[in-house]
Amino acid sequence: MSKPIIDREAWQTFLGISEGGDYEFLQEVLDSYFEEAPKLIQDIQLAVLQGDAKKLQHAAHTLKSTSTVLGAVTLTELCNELEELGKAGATGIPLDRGEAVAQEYAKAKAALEQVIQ
Amino acid sequence: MILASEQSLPLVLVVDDDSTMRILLRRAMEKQGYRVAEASNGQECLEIYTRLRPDIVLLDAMMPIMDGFECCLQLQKLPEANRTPVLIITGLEDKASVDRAFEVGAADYVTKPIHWPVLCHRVRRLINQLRLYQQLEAANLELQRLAGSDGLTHLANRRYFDKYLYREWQRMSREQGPISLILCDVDHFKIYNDTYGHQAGDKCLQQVAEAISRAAKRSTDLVARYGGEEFVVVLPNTPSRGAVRVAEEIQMHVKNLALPHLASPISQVVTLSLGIATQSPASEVSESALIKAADEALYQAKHEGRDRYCLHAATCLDEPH
Repeated sequence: MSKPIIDREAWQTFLGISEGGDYEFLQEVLDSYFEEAPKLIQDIQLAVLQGDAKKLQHAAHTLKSTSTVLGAVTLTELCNELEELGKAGATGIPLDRGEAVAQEYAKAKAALEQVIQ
Repeated sequence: MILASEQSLPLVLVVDDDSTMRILLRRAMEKQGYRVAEASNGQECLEIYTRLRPDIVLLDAMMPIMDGFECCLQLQKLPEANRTPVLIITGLEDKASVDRAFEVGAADYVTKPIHWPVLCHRVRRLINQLRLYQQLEAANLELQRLAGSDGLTHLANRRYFDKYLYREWQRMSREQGPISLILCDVDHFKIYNDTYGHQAGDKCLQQVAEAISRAAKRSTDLVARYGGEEFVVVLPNTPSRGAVRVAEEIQMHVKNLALPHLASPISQVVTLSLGIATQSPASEVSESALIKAADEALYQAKHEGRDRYCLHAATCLDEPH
């Protein structure tokens, strides 16, 4: 647990886009993220289950993009790993990778909710 | 609703299947002072693009169904798409993806994770480029217009007339239709200038030019200033009878101007002499034959006492055979 879940520097950059704390905007972004992420995680888990490399690549890529912006570093790294696997056309990915994404997301969500309080 | 005052702000079309990314891009662009429209997939992008004509498109490379590359390719095929830059946002920085982006016509690209200041700089640069292109195009059009127009009367000039007659001669040759020409000369214009001065002479030419223009109304009719006080009217698809009607109308409009010309030996007001010629262009004859015939008819009109029109007998053409 030495690594932070939310990278401060990335979060600061993000605050830069929001002009340093436009609360409504932050809430809008997080609401959207919290709504989209579970769908993408479901896609990732399904793709792992079905061995659909293309679908895995796309879903992991999309989740990675927004997670990066929000500074969710550990989740970003995990998504990156899955995206690369998908890109390489890998099949037979251990099913627990899908579960790991869900767990990392839960942690990131909790951390983000705390940061915005 | 877009307010009138906002119309001139650049419009950015953001295309991304991920709504969070769209919110972020929208905010980043709005902060730069741009207006933003959004599309969530390639098909929607094409529709909104056609409807709103954005100044720039930010296109996510990785989208389901129609990916950004394919969408960019489709955009280039739209008739409206000549200059609008497309900036592709790609998560893939490998050479193949970058090559692909430029192949499909993207103006530039940025990679994910987005480096916001870089994105903003590139968008601003592309919009500035577009503005420059647009200004250049407008300036070119204005130059073209100036090159073909007469400074005094704002009619087409001799140069434009030559090109236009050549083009319509070719067209009538293909369509096998008649083309008529009316050469008009202001009667005793030298005396007019001597009597009223050159400024009044210029004013007279401007008013005569307007009167002639009122008589040649069809979109393919052309009125040009042929020389000093000579005007010419090109009437494609017009037999002699139609050309005579136009000539009579010109005479009427000029008479109605009632411009005093007290020193004129033939009338109290400004009048015209007109020469009319009609031909059905054939490949072995050039359009200069038509000008020559109209000129001969004009000479005859002057010879017979001016303030009248003459029809070149040899070229008189009424019913197509």
